[in-house]
Amino acid sequence: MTRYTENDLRTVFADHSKDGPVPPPRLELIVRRGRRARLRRRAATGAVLTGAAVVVAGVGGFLPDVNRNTTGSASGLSSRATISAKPSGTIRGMNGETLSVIHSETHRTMGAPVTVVYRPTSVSTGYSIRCTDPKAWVVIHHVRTGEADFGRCNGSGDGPDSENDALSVAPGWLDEPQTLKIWVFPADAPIAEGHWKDDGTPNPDVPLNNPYASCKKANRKLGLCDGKFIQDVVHVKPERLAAVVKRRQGEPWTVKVYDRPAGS
Amino acid sequence: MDGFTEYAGHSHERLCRTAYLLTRNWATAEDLVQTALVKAWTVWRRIEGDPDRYVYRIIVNTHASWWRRRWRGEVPTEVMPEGSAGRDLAKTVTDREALWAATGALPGQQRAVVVLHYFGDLTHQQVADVLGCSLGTVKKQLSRALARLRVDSTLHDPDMEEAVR
Repeated sequence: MTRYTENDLRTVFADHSKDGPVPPPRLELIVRRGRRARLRRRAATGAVLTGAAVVVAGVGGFLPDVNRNTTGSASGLSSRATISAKPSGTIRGMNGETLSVIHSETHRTMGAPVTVVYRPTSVSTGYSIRCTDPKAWVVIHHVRTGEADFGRCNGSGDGPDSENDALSVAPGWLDEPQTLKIWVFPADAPIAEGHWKDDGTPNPDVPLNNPYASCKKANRKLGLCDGKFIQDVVHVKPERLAAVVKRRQGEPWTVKVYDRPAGS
Repeated sequence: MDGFTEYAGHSHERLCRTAYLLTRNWATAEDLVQTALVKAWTVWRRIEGDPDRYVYRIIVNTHASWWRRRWRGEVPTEVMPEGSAGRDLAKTVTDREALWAATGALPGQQRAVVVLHYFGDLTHQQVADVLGCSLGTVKKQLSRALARLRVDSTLHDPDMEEAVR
């Protein structure tokens, strides 16, 4: 049986990493994306200030009633819980730490935003979203940090989909409730193919720097590729797709917010 | 922004190579590094000390997040490919390919620990700082990874011994 030395390991890593095509950093793109995230953060913060009343939950806090049925706000910006589940259990975070579910909601709303408000207990706040249909699309806007996530609703059963740390959270993170704005769209929503295939491999037909590369008919102003929204647009402006899909009731999906106990 | 351009310029290649060792895909590695640098840019003024710690941490966490969301089909193997006996050049190459394949089958955190320590040259404590876990956890993960890879830290490399003779 072959045994290896630590030097074998260093050599293997050096050999396999030396021949890759490493282009220079795309600084303009990095700064543009960074600025866009900041702009989103400002816009999102403004939306919250003018938004509807929200449900606040946290450790030892209010747990929404099962089967509580409320409607969207007068502004039409968000809908409220249709079904809520009592959170339970613990999971392992991305760094091996124990995280507890501090808030959980289950909804059937598709094609319209759902606002989820929770009170974090540490800077390690994470979340997961699981859908009955794993092919459903999900967009999550983190209202105060300006971060946004987008993809198929097919996370694995264990662990959070994302998790914060001391630097990723917004200033004053623990001082007030935090808000996620979530859109779930049906699997057949008009969304164009993106840079990532469903199996997680890059799609050579849709390069990162040109999502319109394979479109027969592109409408860059509206963000459409052959009549479907490009994924970058859905990611940043999900309300455009929502206006097409329109609010509907679908299969249930659940969002869970995880955190470390306060002071840990 | 003060220092960011310089940092990105001189670190980008190293970060991409590190990300490649985590992802095994150059396009994914570049995406991962770009995502990490975007996040770093937005909090640049709040990063104290060496930005590497924060950027490495984003890379590892983002990769874990992507892995969960997109790459569930990747299943770690329990047994690494077997090599043959002897230590001639051809066999050494074959063995190292087996070792490369085996590192790709390590669970995510073990792979991150091994890559950061043996490729990034981070100390155990620095790896713990990057991953936000205890020194003990890093040592435990590293020990398990080396056992799985059949890397014996007490063995000396014959080529190295010959070279210094």
